Amino acid sequence: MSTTAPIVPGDTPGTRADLILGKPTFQTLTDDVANVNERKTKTRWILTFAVAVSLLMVLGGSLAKLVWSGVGVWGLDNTVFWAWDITGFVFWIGIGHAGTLISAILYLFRQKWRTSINRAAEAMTIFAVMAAGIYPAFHVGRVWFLYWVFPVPNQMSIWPNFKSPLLWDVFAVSTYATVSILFWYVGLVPDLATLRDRAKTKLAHTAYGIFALGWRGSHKNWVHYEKAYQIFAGLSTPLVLSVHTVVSFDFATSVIPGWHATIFPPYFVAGAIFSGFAMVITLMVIARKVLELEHIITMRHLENMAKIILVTGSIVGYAYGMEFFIAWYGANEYERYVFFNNRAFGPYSWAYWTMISCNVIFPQLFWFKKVRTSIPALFILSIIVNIGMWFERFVIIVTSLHADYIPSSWTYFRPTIWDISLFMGTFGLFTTMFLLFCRALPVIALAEVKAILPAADPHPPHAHDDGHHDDHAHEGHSAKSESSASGTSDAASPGDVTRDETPKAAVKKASKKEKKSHG
Amino acid sequence: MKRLPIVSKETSETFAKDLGHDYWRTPEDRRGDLTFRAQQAREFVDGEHEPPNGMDRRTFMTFMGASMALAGLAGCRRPEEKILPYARMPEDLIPGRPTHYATSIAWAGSSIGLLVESHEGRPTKIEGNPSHPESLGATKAFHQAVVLDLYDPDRSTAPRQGGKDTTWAEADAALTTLATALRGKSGAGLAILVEDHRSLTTKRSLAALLRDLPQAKVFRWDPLGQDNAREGARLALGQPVEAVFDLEKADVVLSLDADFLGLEAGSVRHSKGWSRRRRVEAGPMSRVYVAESSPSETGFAADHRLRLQSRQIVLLGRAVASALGVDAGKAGAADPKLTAFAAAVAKDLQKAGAKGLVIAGRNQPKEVHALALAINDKLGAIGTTVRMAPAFDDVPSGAEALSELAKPAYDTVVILGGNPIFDAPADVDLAKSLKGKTTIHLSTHVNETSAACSWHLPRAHALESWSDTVAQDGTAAVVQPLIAPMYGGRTDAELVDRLLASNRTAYELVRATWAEITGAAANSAAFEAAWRRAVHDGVQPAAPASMGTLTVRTSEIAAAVESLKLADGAVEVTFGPDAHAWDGRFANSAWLQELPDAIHKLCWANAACVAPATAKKLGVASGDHVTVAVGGASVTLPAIITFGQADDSVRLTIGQGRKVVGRVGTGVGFDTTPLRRTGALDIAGGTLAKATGSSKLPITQGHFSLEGRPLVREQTAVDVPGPPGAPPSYKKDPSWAKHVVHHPPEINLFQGPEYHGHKWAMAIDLSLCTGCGTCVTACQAENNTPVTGPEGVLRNREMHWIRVDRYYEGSEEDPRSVTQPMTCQHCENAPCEQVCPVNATTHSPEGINEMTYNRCIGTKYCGNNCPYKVRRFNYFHYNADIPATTRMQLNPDVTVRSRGVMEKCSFCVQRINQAKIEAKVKDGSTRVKDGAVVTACQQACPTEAITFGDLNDGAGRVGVEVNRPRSYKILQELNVRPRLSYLARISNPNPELVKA
Repeated sequence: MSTTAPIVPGDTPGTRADLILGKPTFQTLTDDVANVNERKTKTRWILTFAVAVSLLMVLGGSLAKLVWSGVGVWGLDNTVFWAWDITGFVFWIGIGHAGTLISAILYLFRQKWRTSINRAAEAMTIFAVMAAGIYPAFHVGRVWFLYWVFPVPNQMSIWPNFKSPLLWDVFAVSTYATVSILFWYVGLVPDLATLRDRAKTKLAHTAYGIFALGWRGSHKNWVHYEKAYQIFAGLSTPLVLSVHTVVSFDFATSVIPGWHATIFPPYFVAGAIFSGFAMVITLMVIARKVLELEHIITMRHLENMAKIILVTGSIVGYAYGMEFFIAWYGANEYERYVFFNNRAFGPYSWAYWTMISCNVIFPQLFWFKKVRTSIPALFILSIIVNIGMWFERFVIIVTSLHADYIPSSWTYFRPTIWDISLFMGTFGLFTTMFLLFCRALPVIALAEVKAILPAADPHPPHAHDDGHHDDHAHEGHSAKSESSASGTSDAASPGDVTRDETPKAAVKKASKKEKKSHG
Repeated sequence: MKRLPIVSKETSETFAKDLGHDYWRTPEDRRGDLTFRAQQAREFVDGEHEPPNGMDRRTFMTFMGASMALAGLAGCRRPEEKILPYARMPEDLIPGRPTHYATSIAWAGSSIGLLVESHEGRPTKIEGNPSHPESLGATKAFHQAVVLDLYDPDRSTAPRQGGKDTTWAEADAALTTLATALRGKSGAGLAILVEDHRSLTTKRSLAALLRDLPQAKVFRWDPLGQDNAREGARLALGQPVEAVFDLEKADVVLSLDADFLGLEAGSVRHSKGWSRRRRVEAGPMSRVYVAESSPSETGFAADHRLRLQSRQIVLLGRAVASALGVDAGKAGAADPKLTAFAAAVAKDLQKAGAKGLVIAGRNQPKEVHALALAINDKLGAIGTTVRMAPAFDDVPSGAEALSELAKPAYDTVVILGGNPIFDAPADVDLAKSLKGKTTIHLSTHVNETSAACSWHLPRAHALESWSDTVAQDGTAAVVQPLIAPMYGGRTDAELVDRLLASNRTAYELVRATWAEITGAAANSAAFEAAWRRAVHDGVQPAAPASMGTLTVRTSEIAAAVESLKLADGAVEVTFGPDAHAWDGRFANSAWLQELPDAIHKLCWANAACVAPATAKKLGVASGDHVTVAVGGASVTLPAIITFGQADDSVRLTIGQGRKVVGRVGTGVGFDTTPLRRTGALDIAGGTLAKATGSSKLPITQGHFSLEGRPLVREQTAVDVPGPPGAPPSYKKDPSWAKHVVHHPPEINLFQGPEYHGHKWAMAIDLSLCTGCGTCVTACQAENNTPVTGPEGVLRNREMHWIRVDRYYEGSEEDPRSVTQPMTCQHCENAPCEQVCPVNATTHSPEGINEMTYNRCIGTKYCGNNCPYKVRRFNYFHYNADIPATTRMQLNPDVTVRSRGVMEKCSFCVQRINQAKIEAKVKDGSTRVKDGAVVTACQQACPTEAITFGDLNDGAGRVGVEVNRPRSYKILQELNVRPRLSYLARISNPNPELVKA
């Protein structure tokens, strides 16, 4: 980094707010995070959970109706064979991508701010993939024969068709789901051990104990853990790019104008990260408040994510523009028709302009620090982005299909109540799972956050040399290995400092400081 | 699980009666003690070890047993079927191999010969009889649907008296009484109402009845009858003769509101003849001019179409007649467009001379028919393009006959078929006048008339009865049963015979008639030989009838034409047959209801066709309701904007909106018959107003513009002045169509297969397609394609494997229009095959894109990736609810698809395999001869627009078609390599009119 660059006050490394506010000790941090799981179940959690489970029952009902009556309960026809189903699939798969990006790529790049959010984001990934998986599984006409897509040796001696992008999807998504779950679980092991050690009931002790896999916090444990974690990060990193690339192949390899485009893989990946981060913001804005973790998931985290949204949103915007340009420049009449006559100025212009506003125009507000650091603005914009990204998939799928080559077959898609209820139901699944996660598992990756506490790094920070910090990464880890989860050693770690302010006060102070430096 | 037939109390009693004995078990039983009978059905009498209500022991055991069995069978999906071998094998019957029988049916003032495919005694599919002049091997969609009508579960199953089911024994007793009474008064008070039945045997029986009961009267009413033509001939020639048109001989044809290729009499024969003159390679093309108020398939297939109100057609007729020197009375001033058109047509007709032809439409008044005859006579066309045949019969007919029948003098009315209560003119209040009389209605279905009559008797269906028909040109044909009457019906002739207190069977009656026709003594060896031949061939050519000299009475015609009063009123209202229900008889036919009509692609409905300008004036859009009023009566129904409709003209179809109809037709469409009145049955003056409300019209095509896409390619035969950028004429550049789209070379990532054996391909000549939709229904009948109902069509889920796309060009008011049959193109590099994850759609070594239904899991990806959008998905289990009788129609050679699988055109692979087996068995050949495989659509097509065959067969017909200069493939630029070629549409316009 050039040292001659003008220094923006408040955003330079030395003057940035701390990643974790309130200077917690290992002990207080553990207390704060474990408190989420150990405190009495709050009424509002139960109420929210009741709503989520109701929605989950809507999912069950919708699937039952779907399987009982047939795919015809949806609004599909013999021109538009996919609509809300695959839209929902791509939407949820896309959302998952942020979690993997945070936990894998940002890990490899040693982005310390990821530690506060990666656990929850990865959980979100897994739940999003679960929600996504429902669609390809149940959108088929005969769900009871779904296993034919797997290359299982069978008496008919028929293999699946390896030329089909849908089959690539099967492999891509199942790999993604498997790796994500394993990665997440590996990261959870030390924290599960912490919860085990703190457990007050026999049941909790046993349950956490089983899943903690006998973790003792020994040096050897940590060595294995670090290796495994790094390997999974390495495995997940290409998946961030490949899964949505493969999903985009469903469309890109087809002959349908509006689908058949080489720009799809990067455009889909950027869109996935875009929507995923928006979902993380939506969830974190609520979770940090409700779970009283505002000093761990701080404004700085939210702002960083807003910046990523700004970048990926702009990539997506560029892709939209490029698609349009190629449609015009390529002089393919069918493609032109899709972009100009169907999407921008045709029967689906309402969907198209909703998409453009939500994905390209509104995220531009994140250029302003005021917007980036305003909780209400972040919350609203993150939801807008996800609405926009749902519409993006809808626009791609439905507007391309409803009017392709032969004008006599053109139709207009209208969803039925069952299209809508199933999509609502997937939110039920997602929310239910997330609420259970918040209740039962540590929402913050304790061991990782501890490693970035000043307590883990006894040297005073160097004002103008942020890189110096990284030199001590190893020390941080060793500090963690000595101090964290392995039982009762929380208070006995070296470099222990006592908490000098409450988390709430710290958050307030930090936000004042931010404002001052901005103004 | 197979559902075993349960013998109910009713059926067991019927069986007992059928046996002729009524066995009894106990004295109580014999006395008919009902309490005892009720107890008999149960195991124990009350109070004996059985709870008086709730589940009894037997039911409990049944359920327990069933659930045990189910538990054991959980892994077993296939239903268990028991096959019973024949105890004595019928001759000529090889299980699995269909047999074909010739028969015929009366149709639209003529008849049509059919070949019916029968599988183990079940008729399943109807084809045209190539030896019959009205069919020549083809049919229309209506004829295809006759077999579905046979199996209609809503057919009447028993005689009814006063609305209550009774038995044939009772009915016969009543008929005997009636016959005795009638004989006593020599038939006084008896009126018999017939349809346009065309049956010689019925005619002969009626003649016998009139001989025995001289006071009785016979009348005819057919809502779509040919009375105008008959009376026109009477006016022109002094006697009712049939004019038979030969389109093959005609160089120039003028249609005066006649949809002669579509819904008029003889349309199949006309289509065949017309098509032979429309292949540009086959010699000079004919030229067709059509003047009509509402667009028809003929109008849009013509070279020139004049949009003209039906009531003003006579003006065109007079203008043409005058220009040709036929006295047509003093003509007033006419529209300049009409005058120019008439002048050009007259000149062309003059040039054609004896090879000219003028056809007047069924709904035109008799004066126009007479005028057309006079013009044809003047041209010298009588004897070349027009042949005269004696009229079938001459009984009082039409609305006037119905009024006569309604008189109180007739206290006994026997109605043979038809549905006059529904379709009689509103001013003849038939329902009221029939009240209190003895009325007998013979009909295959219980309809409005059956409900209003004191007796309803089930009529034997055309496919289950012995009878005969006579075509317009006098060709006689036998009607033979394909199956024993399913519900014990009788034929018309049998009922008439009963009225004479005789009870000969239809078979005896028909043989007696044919003894007369063949001129051989009944039961002689010569007769047996002739009879067997007639039954086998299905055809007995007409003996050349001497018509005597026919003189056209020009002065009478001129006077009549001059005094013809045009229908007045703000708008004219024209009535025609419904494209689905015909005159209402097919209202319960699911195939026809779901067949999109040729012009609007409307299904499961009827609507008032109005011109765009008229609609704009009223402020209505398609689907908005309008009120059509004629002479005090009014009907409210949805409007449909019809491109090419004459302004201030409304076309209505009759036959929909039936009240007493089966499960399919109930609630479909709107009844327009209240608007028809004596004297204005076909064209009436009336008013049109906007009404409140609107309906969603189930239409299979929502977009009628080609958007400039080169899907349909069209040229003119010779150079005519055209707009800049118009394609060159066929004469100048025959292979223009091949080179319309420029695309880079087609490179393939994979090496394509080589086709060493057969290489199946199809060619469709767009010059010949009129868009009638026969192929659609023929395919549906052959391939067990399900019907989705109006809800399905509204959701764009119709399942037809072939569809006919229609596109318009030019102004909305007066457009040109083209049609394009569209089905699976069997791409060699098929996009659908690549994307199926489970290999359910693959390519055969003979180049057919095959669907393996069993393997399909229904991702629908193939449907998305099909650029032609010809794949059809079973969104529901459409075949689950087929009634048991209708199931008998299903083609056993084709899989009945289940829910959740994709389907599409298979090139009738079952027929290909059948032909291959036959070739192998017959001459040990592994190659099928050209022409041995005929697809269902090809076989039914009345214009022979579809050719199918093997491209590897050097001399094959399909190769000839595909290699024609004007053949092209659509969307070839996608490198999908379709196997279906289209032949560019070549029209033959009159350069003079193009200039104008």
